[in-house]
Amino acid sequence: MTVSKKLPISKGHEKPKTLIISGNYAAAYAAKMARVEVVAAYPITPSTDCVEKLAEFVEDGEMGANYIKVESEHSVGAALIGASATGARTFSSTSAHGLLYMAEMVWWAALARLPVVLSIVNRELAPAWSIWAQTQDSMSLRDSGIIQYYCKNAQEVYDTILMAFRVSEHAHVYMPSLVCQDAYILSHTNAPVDLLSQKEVDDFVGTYNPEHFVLDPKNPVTHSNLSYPVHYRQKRFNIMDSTHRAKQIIKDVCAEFKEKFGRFHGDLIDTYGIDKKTKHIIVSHSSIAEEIELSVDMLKKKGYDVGLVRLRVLRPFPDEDMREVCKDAETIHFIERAPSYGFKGVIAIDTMAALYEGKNHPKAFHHIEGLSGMDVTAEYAAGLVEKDLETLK
Amino acid sequence: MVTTKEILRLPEPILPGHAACAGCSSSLGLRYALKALGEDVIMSVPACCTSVWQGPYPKSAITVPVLNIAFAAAASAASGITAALDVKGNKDTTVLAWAGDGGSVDIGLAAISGAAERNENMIYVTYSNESYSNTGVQKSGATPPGARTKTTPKGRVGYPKDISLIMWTHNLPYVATACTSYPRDFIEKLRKAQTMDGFKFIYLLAPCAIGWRFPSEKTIEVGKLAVETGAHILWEAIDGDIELSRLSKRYEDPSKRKPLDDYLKLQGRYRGIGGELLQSYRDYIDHQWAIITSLANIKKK
Repeated sequence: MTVSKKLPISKGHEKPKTLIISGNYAAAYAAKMARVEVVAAYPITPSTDCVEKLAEFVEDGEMGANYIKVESEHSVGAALIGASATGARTFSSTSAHGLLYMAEMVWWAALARLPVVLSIVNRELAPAWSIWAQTQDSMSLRDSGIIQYYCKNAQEVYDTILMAFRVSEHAHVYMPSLVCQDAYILSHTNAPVDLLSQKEVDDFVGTYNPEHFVLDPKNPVTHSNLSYPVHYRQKRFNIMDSTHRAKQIIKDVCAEFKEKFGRFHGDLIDTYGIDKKTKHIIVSHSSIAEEIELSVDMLKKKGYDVGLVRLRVLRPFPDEDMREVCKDAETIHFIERAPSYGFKGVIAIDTMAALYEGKNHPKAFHHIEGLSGMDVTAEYAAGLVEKDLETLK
Repeated sequence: MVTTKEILRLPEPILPGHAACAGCSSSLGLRYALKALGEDVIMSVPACCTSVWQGPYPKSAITVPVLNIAFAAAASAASGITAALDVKGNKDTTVLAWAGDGGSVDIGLAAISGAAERNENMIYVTYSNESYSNTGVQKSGATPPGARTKTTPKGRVGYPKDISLIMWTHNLPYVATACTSYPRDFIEKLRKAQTMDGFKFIYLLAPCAIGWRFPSEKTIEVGKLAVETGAHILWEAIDGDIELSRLSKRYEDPSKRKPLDDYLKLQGRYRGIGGELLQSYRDYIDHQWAIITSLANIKKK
């Protein structure tokens, strides 16, 4: 097999520029500029805009990817796995039921160590039909090994997708990624997004040159045949090691991005209004967290010593970062969209497990908010925290 | 026509020591397929007998690269392989999706139909043992009337789906049926398919000693009887024009066919099955001949 080093076309980005675009379009521009080689897509609201934009790029000759219009999300996953295993950089976007329909292949991509990157629009699950924001779709895949980023705005979506390719394709990682944004609040809301130049993206993202394996008749390998426990166990341990290692690699890649382009959205976590001795810590995620930055300002004005930790990466989980940021905290206030039924919020469960291994165990308050895309305003979130703190008096 | 001598001289693509059952015809089928297609092949294999008999990690009996993939995903994973080869400018490598009947006619039907509709550049072979043999012989959508499986202990009621005709309705460059007992016919068909662009489909009848309950040394005989009794019709369609293959042409006249009982009595799966169900198998065979021969009269050109 002749593997050409020729990169797919990506036209129109000689210079950096600012566009007023949605989160979906930000994802599409990132995929185009990362010179994705194979896209497979199936429509689902509200992620369709991303794959429509990619189709437009391809048909206009602005993007040199092979675009497969498959008949289901399960086939999206399978096609991307086939393409990635053949050495291509791969991308798609989906949401809610689309992601769950693809779930078998998300696990497959992770266990096959293939660096597929998916833009996920977090959407509520049916029944009843609902199309608004909720993060249980991707969070239900928490244990698959796939790396999960949660973004607060369209700029972060664009930047994170570029970084996700770097991390996923790192020879010490080789795991797929989900880059998540909230339905409508980000996916359909236009905002200024600064795009890098094509040269900057090319230099930063590089090309995908798999070292672990590639389907090639000149060097035939059988991938994923029956493995006895002694071998399969080792493979699972390798995934555990790689996903833990990914934490430092994510931090390094975010730091490099900041150094080169001056933009930083946090790495595993993002913080707002936090100093070493912050007493009251709000933990949130996604676009809600951007709103809660305003709540922090309001509460500080009222004299509360509060700060915000925005969980950017759910897996691998930033356990050390959480312990460090909470080491002097008296209270911790979880405001999150995704419950794990019969227990607490997904982020609360993981954060408290991380804190258990530390010395400081702040009192925790749990709020499942913003379900089904309900608005969480800055005033409302500030009120939640204020009420929590009143109970301590 | 390829000669037996030539087939024997071709390099062996399946290594000794693989894990197939005694008398397995799917391993034989893949041996012929890879002899026909050569070494520049990438395979997509979903859950099926071949996922087991290729042998356990860290070894493999198959000498071309194989991507093992989930049950429903042979055609879609192969589409991705095709797309990646294409974007890299590789026009030479043949992509072979190699799936069982369950993975094609049932769980993988949406994916195979999608890949066919997109006319993805691959050869898709459904090797059919007419049941879920790998999971211990349960009824599939390709199980013939009357056949006993673990989930049809009193014999399968009703007609199977004809995946070849379903594929034919997708306006493909090439659709054919074959049988592992006729390697020359199968190899000819594969080589024909390999010269064409787009989605090429072959339904390969692959008798299963375990599932059909016949002695393992009878595999070839059972497959031949399937054709000689008219139970399995060999045909091909180039650009939609159906033609009976030479081997089946002679059985268009029912009086030339061997009695169906010759085929059934060799197989434990039909033993003790009531006359009514076996009659429905006969009716199904007549029905299939009527469809294929009338479609063979329709010429596009």
